[in-house]
This record gives sequence, C-alpha cells and structure tokens, in this order.
Amino acid sequence: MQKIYNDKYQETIYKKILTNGLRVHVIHKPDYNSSSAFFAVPFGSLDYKQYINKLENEVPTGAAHFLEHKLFEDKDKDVMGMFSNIGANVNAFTSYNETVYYFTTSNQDVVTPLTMLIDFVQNLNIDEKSIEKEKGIIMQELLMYKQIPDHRLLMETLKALYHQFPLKYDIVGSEESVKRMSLNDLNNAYELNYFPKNMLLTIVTPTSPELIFDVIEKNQNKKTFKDNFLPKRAYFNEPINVVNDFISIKMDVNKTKVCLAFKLPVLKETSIDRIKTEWGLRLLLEGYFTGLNNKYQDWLDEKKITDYFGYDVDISDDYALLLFYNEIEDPFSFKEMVVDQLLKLKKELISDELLIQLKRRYFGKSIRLFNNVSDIGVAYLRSVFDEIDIFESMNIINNIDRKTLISVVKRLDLSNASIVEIRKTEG
Amino acid sequence: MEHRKILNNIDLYVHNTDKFKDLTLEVRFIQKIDHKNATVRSLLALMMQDRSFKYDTKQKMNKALDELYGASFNISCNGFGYGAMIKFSIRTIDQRFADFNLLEEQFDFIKEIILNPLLDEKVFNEAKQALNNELLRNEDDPKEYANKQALALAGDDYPLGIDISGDINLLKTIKLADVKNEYLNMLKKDHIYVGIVGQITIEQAEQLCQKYLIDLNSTDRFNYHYQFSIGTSKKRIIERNIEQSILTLIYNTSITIDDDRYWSLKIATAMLGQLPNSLLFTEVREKKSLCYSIYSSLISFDSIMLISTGINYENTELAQELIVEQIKTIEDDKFSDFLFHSAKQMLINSYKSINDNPQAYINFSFMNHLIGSVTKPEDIIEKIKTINRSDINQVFKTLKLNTTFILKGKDDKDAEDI
Repeated sequence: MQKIYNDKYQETIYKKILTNGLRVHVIHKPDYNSSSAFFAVPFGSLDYKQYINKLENEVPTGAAHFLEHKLFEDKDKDVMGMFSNIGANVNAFTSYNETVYYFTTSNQDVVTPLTMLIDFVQNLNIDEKSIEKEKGIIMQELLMYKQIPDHRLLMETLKALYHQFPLKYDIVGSEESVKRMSLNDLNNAYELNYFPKNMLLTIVTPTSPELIFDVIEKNQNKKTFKDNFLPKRAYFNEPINVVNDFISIKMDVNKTKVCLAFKLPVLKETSIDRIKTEWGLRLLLEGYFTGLNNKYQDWLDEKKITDYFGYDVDISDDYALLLFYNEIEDPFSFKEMVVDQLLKLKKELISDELLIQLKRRYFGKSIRLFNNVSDIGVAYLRSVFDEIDIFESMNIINNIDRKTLISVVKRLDLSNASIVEIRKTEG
Repeated sequence: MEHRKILNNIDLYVHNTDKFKDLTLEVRFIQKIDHKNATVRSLLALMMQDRSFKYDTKQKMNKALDELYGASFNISCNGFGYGAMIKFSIRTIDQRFADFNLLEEQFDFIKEIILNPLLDEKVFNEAKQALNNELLRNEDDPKEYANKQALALAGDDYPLGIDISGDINLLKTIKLADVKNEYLNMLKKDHIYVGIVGQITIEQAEQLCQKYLIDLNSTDRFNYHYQFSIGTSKKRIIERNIEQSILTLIYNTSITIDDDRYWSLKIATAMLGQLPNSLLFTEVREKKSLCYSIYSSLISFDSIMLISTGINYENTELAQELIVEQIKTIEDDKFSDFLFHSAKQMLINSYKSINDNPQAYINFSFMNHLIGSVTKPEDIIEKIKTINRSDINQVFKTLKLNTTFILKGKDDKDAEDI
C-alpha cells in the first residue's frame, strides 16, 4: 500500500494494485460521515471501435451507455433496491471516455455497499428480452435530450465538425444504433473492457484504508477473470477540415442560438503538456471573453452578445476543439467578432498582472474541490486515467508563464470552423 | 448550529468547524411574495450580482472576487409558500490556505454588495434584458415549461402560482423606481437570516456582523407555509413543436410542513417516485418501458405533490392509469416492506449527509428557522424510525388530484382546455 500526503491541499491518498491488476485508490476523509465509491472503466462512447492485440472489434455506437443501463439488471435480484435498502444512493454515468458506477452513503458501514458495487459491476446477467425492453427506455432518453436546445446545439456542432471521429455520435447512440444493439454486442463489449486490469476503484471515505483494501482483496480473491489484453481506441483518420461550415436547425425555441466551433489540430504530447495547453488556453480565453475584458461590457451594450454567451475548450489525445455560444440573429457577425478577438489574443496574450490574478482564482477553486466527496471522486479517477497525479495536475496552472502562453497560441489555427444555429420553427 | 438574535432583530446561525476547506456566509432576506415583487426581486438580484458602487464594472467585481482566491459569490431568488427570498452567498477558502485575513474581507465584500448597490439606468436596462432572455430560455426547456405551466394553472391566487424567477409580461412594465423601492423594502421590511459554516465562533461572527451589517433591520418572521385548498380539478393540454410529450400531475396533500404527518408523507413520496426502486420507476419505466424519466416531489410549503414524466403522447393515458394505480398501492397498504424500509433508509441517509455539506447545514437550519422548529437532523432520524406502514397509507388517502397538464407534440390531436 502506497501512502501519499499532500501538504498544500492537506489530503491523504492510499493506493494499491491488487494481484489481479485492479487499481484501488482511497482518498481518506476521517472527518466526514459520508463515503463515495466509483468503479470506473475507460470505455466511453468514443470507444465503439477498439483494437485488442491488433484485432479490431466494433459494436454499435451507444454500446457503452446501453451496457451501463443493463449492468444494473440482475435476473435474481433488484440491484438498485438493494442499495436503497441500506441507505445508499447508487447511480452511473457514461461519458466520451469512461463509464463510472458509483454510490454515496452516510452510514458507517461502507463495506456492504462497496461489496455490492463490485459484485454487480463484475457480473453481467442479461438476455435478449431484457435488451428489447431497455430499447424503449433509451429511445425516450434520446428524445428527451434531443428536445433540450443546448444539448441539440452541441450535438449538431460536433456532427458538423467531424467526418470520422466518433465525437459526431451522441453518447446515447442513435435511434438506428440503439435498435440494432444485440445481446452479442453487449456481451462482447463487456468481456473486452470490464476486467480488473482495465478498471479503477476509487473510494472517498472516513473508513480505515486498511479495512477497505482488505475487503476488496478478499472479494477479488474469490473470483477468477480472464487475463485480457488492454483494449485500445481505434485510430480514425480524421481530416482537419470540417464537414459543414454552416448548418441551420429549426426547433421550438424563443431565441436563435448559435455555436461557433473551431476544429484544432491534434498533437502527440504528454498528459502534462496537454493539460498545460488546455489551461493556458482557458486563461487566455478568460482574459478576452469574460467580464475581465472591458470590451465584454460593450458587446452586451451593443447587443452583440447576451448573458448566454460562453465558450468551452477541450484538448484531448485524439481531438481538440474550441466552442463559442451565443444568442444572436446574425451568426456571421458573431464569428467576425470572435475571430478578431482571437487574433488579438494570439498577438497580445494577457498581462502578467491578469495571469497572477487568474492563478490565484484557480488555486482557491482547486482547494474547494476537495470539500465534496463526489466531486473529488470524479476529478480523481479522470486524472488517473490521464496518467497524471491529481495534485500535479492542479499545480500545472502555477507553472504557466508567458513562454507557455506563446506556445499555446501557436495551436490556435482558426481556419477550420463550423457555425450551427438553432432557429425558431416557423408557423 | 448555534443561534443568536443580534443587532436589529437579525437571526444569526453559526456552525464552527474546521472540517471544510472554506467558509460559507449567507445573508437571506425574506418578504411576503406577490406577482410583482417576485419579478422585481429577480431583477434586483441580477443588478446587485453584476456591480456595486465600489465595484462599478465587471472587471472590478471579478478582481475583488479573485483577491479572495476566486471566491464563489452568488445572489439568487427562491420561493417557499408565502415567502420570497433573496439570498446572498459567498464562499472563500479557509484562512489556513490564505495569506491574509480573509474573514474580514469576506464580510466587507458582502457589506459592499448589500449596502452599496449600483441601481442606475444602465445596470437596470442590462439586467432587464438578461432576465427577459432567461425567462424566454426557461420556456425552451419542455420539462421546465410544462412544470411551470402546471404550477401556474394549479396555483391560481395562491403563492404556488407565482413564478419566483419572474413574469415576462410584468417585466415589461417595471421601472427603475420599482427596483429602488423594492431594495428599500428589502432593507427595512424583510426578515433577515444570516448563516455561517466554517472556522468561526459565534462571538467572532457576531462582532463581524456588528461591524459590517449594522445598518440592517429585520422584521419578525411570519408563517410561510399554508394549506392549499382544492377547487375543481383542472386539465389543460398545450401543443408545442416537440417530439416527446410531458405529463405533469399536481396533487393536493393537505399536509403542511409543520404537521406531525409530514415525515410520513416524505417517506410515501419517496416510495412513489424518488428511489431507483420506487413504484413509478419500476412499474412505468422498467416494466412498461414508457419513459426514461419519472419522479414525484413534494413542494412542502405549499402542501403539494408533483409528478412528472416525459413520454409519447399516445401513452399519456396509460401512464396516468399506472400512476393512479401506484398511489392506490400505497393507499391500500399493498407495498412491500422492502420498499418501505428503502425509503426510510434513504431519507435517514439524506439527513446524515447534512453534516458533510456546508450548504446543506445552512438550508437545514433555515428551514427549521422558518417553521419555528429547533429540531436537529438526529431528531428527524429518530422520528423517521418510528413511522409505520399505517402512517404511510393514511397520508396518501388525503391526496387529491388538482391539475393535469400535458405538453404535447405538434403532430397529435388539437390542444384543448377541459
């Protein structure tokens, strides 16, 4: 068992890799009543096509999410009910990069729900009939998201950007892929991804870490698993140009919503460099596209933006994009305004004074993250999958200087952009 | 939390703990709700959040918060029964992580925001535009729209029918003078609650309030909860250009938040539609695959229960039948012991978790304060443990359907009022 104490954040983490390869990490919170546990697998919606020891395997899009729904089902017992019955809240989520099953409880006994969590995630127990039944539920989930304007705007934007890369598919999949999902697809996806060496169990708890490790080890020692090769996400030969530079969608909305997206080049770099680039970009964008910039007030006064205006940046190993949102009738004038600012940003960066101000802001935010057992759990597991120490990732921002910002803006190639608008349906 | 009456009748509640990495300070102003003040107060909150006399630009406001290590600062409006609240909330990191006296600065900041707002035409026009946009945006989300329409239809002349975020038609008529008047009302006529969780003693908190909040006057609290009385059952169908229909049902519970039976009602509502093994989730979603989302929730200060689901329009009738069946299952004492035990355990768990969340601490003490109770989470847990099956079915016998609202897709039959 490895113990790590971080003086700056005043937090202690214990780590162990079990003999079957399962990574178990305990974030010890002795003053808390509540515990949370997160059982995570790096199998998200982008992983519908994978390579396992050079052999390609493909399942319908949305398989990771469908599997997440089905793991809660057991012919012999009511999995969710069992958690409720001991006062534990159980749930799960699927994102682009991972699927996570988790519970929170404020009872002293964390061992019982922890054992239940491990057991249900490590046992897929489904049949054709239950899959058909689930399709109706997932169809309604698809419809629900489709009629939320912000979700639809993002989905249509990603479709406009990507030819091949699976970011163009909704996490839930499509009507067609959900209908096509078979027992074989789900069994296949489960077998190739859900095995100890590929998974991570993170527990945030006041309970003694020794007890937690002991319980998990005993549980795992009773089970046998196939020793699989670690799956690898397929490479997609994604061109740098976009699919569509302009798309207009009609929906039942009051105001026209616009998303302007830039598809940025993807670089092969270390996790630390990637996170540094993303943070550098975030700091620059804060300086130019929020109330920190005095022009922001002019844009509001001149009705070039509304309070809906915002941006997002996502730099990963296999995609990189920059998004701007607004409510505006003329999306092209919006693009002009954003590009003007980005060109200025590339040339002038931000002042040293503002950089120090923003570093201070994010130091405070990172300290506060450790207050909430659920927030820490998710941030932590993502840092492990990114192969970076969470404290190190939080410190990256402190090491950002002008030199970093100069190298960051070189990544800002604005030549590949899409505009997607959602306008009110006429009539 | 420790409680003291301080200054001019202000209720101060403090929980002194070094468990959290930050200190949460909330100042809450409560007034009797009406249609106009709900909208005016939403506007006032947006104006006060944006700028103040000293921090008269967004840049200055941002800089002040960044000086406090990126303090999280928010002004929001909430409604509960007859109460309309404006809440000023600021969270800064705990002193042990900072290099200067953050506590004084935090109080100084909140004083500047509350006592020196910049209520001029420019800020007013910007906030009015922002509120108008927000209200239009809320309508774009079908589920939110359906629930608000259902509450407005059910509410009639009761506070339930007033949308605390504001009324878009009323907003057009509001002048800067209305906002200024409401601000003065807030300072002079509101009931004021201050809640603090973090490393601070009640003596320190009182001293800081004396130094920074001396100009505030609090009126006495009044009864915010009420018993909603049912008229004729109402039904409305509104058509929108959407694919999935939303069904919202509102039931009168006849049980107010200070009623002894309230905790039984909380358990029954959880059994009906708040747990992953609740009756609605199991019967309507899992067995019939009619929906993805279905839930029941209590609007406690208005003695109302709301049920909402997103489904295909042709299934709305079947879903309603199934919902009625599930209520009857509880009423007729035909639910399982397993479900009953689950609901109790989940409720107990939620009260135990209060200790791990500063916001939950303050919310709990505030709710108790509003109803004049001095209950601790442990007392509620003991109360929940004593509730038996017959308590549960009795509370559901009092349910009466008040409103059925359906937001339906355009391709179906014409909308109608029944």
